[in-house]
Amino acid sequence: MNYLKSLGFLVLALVLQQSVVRIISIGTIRPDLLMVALVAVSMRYGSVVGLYSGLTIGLMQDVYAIDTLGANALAKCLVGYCTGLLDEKVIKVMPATKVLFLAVAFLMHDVIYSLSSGIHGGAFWDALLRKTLPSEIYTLLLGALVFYFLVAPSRSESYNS
Amino acid sequence: MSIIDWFIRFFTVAKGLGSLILCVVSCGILLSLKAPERQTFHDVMISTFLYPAQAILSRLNRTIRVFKENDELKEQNTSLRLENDYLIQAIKELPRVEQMEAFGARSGLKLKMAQISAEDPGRYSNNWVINLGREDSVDVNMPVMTALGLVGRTAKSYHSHSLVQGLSDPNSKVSVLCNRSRVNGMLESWPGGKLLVRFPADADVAKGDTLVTSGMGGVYPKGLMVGMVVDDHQDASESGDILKGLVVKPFQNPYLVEEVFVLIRHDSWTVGLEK
Repeated sequence: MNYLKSLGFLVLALVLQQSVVRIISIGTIRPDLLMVALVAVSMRYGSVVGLYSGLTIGLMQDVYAIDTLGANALAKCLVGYCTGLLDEKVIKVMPATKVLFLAVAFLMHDVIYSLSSGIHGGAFWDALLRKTLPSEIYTLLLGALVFYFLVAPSRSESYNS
Repeated sequence: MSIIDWFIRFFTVAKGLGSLILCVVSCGILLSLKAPERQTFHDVMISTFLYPAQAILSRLNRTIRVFKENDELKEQNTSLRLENDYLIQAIKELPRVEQMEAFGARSGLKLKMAQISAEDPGRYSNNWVINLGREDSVDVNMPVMTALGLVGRTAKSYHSHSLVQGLSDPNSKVSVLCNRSRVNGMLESWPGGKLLVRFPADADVAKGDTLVTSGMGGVYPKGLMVGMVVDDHQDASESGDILKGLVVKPFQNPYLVEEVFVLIRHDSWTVGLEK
């Protein structure tokens, strides 16, 4: 059941990423709603769900980038697994903390992706500064909204357990 | 333990460590694939899994694009309609302007064309604001007319606009002359928006006579067309039969005025004085 819920959430994120994000992007700076969804799903349903969700989403993205086939899948499944270890059923985290985890996960994803797709040296730092950081800031803003208003645990759930 | 239980246990034990190893190995295999194998993987994935989903997403994108395009087209449509309306007005205005310019050239008077930018909302008087003012050498007491005839005079002059007092204004008085018998009379407004001319009771003026300005009073030069006598006005005739009143139909219908000419001249008693 958890897999289905997470799959529904990820498909929704994918649809939004393909449609709405094109409208709200600022020049070449695009938020990554898939990362927000992946982190939210992983933290809600655990590391196994996060792992397979990341693999699925990553593979779907990889299909369109033949040269880096597997890079997105690797990066996303590792991010999904790692954030899933911070399972909400075990650790209760505030939305602000989730945003922090999202920031770390985003950075981790891009580092793994760059290294596994053969981007090293100056090109790596250039991509990190010019692409990753602006997109990360935009994604964090949207992620904050999502975590605060959409997937935030109820007050009783947060403090009574 | 069945084989299914064994699989579930393998994939979920130790927080899914087995799954993680499997996934990382799979990704490693994908990364190490050669170009032709990658292409095969790409083709299979696209044609079997992603094409239907992508088709739905493309349709969604197309719908959003159509909405956006629709908004742009609406804006463009409004702009073109405005432009079209403006052009239609300009085409309608052209013959009137040509007629007035021909009149200006024919008469030899120093005329300046003005647009009416505001109109008195009252039912009985016709006062307008025109878009010429002191910066255009328009001053008070200058005759205002169209190609058909006199319509009033400038009553107040501001920097870039002026107030025109129409003939039917209650305070308007114009000295006129009967074109046929050359008798002087006084044109004034009558309650109800009519124009009335008063002549001596024994003056030879009848229906159908045309009236022109007499030149007396100094504001209007002699000979500007004013209107035609159309009827007697018994109520306006004063007791003792000293004066008789006649209804005048102006040559220029004051309700159909859109552009006017201002005759650039100063009233005769200020000629030579510095204004």
